[in-house]
Amino acid sequence: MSCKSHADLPSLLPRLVAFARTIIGDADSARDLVQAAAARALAARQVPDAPRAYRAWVFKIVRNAAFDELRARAQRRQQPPAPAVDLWRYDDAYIAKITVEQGLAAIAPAHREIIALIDIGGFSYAETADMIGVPIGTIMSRIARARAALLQAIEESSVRPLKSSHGH
Amino acid sequence: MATDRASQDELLLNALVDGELSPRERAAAASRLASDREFARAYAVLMRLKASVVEGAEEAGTVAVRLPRQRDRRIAVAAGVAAVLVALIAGGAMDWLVEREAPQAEIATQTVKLVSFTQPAVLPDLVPAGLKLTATATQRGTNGEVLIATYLGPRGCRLELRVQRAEGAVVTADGTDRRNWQVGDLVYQLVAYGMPAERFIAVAEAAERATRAGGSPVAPGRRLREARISAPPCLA
Repeated sequence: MSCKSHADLPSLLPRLVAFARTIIGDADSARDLVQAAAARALAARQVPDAPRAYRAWVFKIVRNAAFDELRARAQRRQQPPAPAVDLWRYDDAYIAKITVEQGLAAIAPAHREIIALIDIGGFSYAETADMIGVPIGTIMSRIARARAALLQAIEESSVRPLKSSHGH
Repeated sequence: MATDRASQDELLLNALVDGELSPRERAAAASRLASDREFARAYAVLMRLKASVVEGAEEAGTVAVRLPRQRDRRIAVAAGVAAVLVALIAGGAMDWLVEREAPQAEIATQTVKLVSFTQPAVLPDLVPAGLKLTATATQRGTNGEVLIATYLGPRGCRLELRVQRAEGAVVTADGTDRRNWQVGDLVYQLVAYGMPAERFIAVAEAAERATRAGGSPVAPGRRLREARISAPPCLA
């Protein structure tokens, strides 16, 4: 291990915390989790050299830790059936940071994970598929389902998005 | 209502907002965005959703992570560097530079350069005196940033090495003992919390020598090694 291998770690930490927070739901636990994950990364004997591989490797450590945390809390829920694909009836006017945060807290961990990996982690579908161990096509459908679930959760929150006049 | 077409469009739109389409697919999608109002509106919804997720993440990302305890000295050095950088990130300073060197030296050191420092600060490894670097942080002082390195010993000993620019008033920390010295444009202040005076003098001398050496390896010296084993436990 060399210090150079971990040169990207500091710049990744904010995203890692945001990623962990999205999955496990609270900021304090996310910070603790990332701290522990960073220690694990720094202690690892085999560290990827390429920046993108290193990034994926660190996110994977945090991802595993986040799901361990969820299991430890015994709060893991069964993934709910995918909501009806009805993207067309939503309006973007009421999608805001606060409603999205509420929505993320309400959807299943698996949905949060895929959104966090792609939107917060900035991973491509191929990288995400590799990280989770599923085909790219599965990632495509999962992210679509996850966003549909998030939109539905936003709609069901106290701040309701406007229905579109073009709804089907 | 979800139809097969709608489902395919959903996948297409999600791939579009995620930048996953080929140039040809993108061109076809762009053409449809221009002609299909519903398609364009759904695209706007997804774009807004993605932007809001990213925006929330960026706000949540400011964080200071405590330095974990490490068994391995090299890991501790690396982790120390990381903790400093995290502190910098938390303070909004992204322009940083860190160098680490001489892991094999008897007193290994790491040099850390904060953006507000004109020269690197030297953080000596005080393991020969039984003190491990366990945390680094930055604090906003009246004279700019103060770099604070915390060393802990096994018997309740705690030292802080505070580094700040020499210009203006030096922020002085409390503690049971204190030693100041200046190297170039930086003032170093080693602060003890409950450490017996004789031991503190030996440690402070070693720390000062290491910082004056500018990160070059220095021998720990007999007094420092003796300080590890002969001194009574710290009081604080």
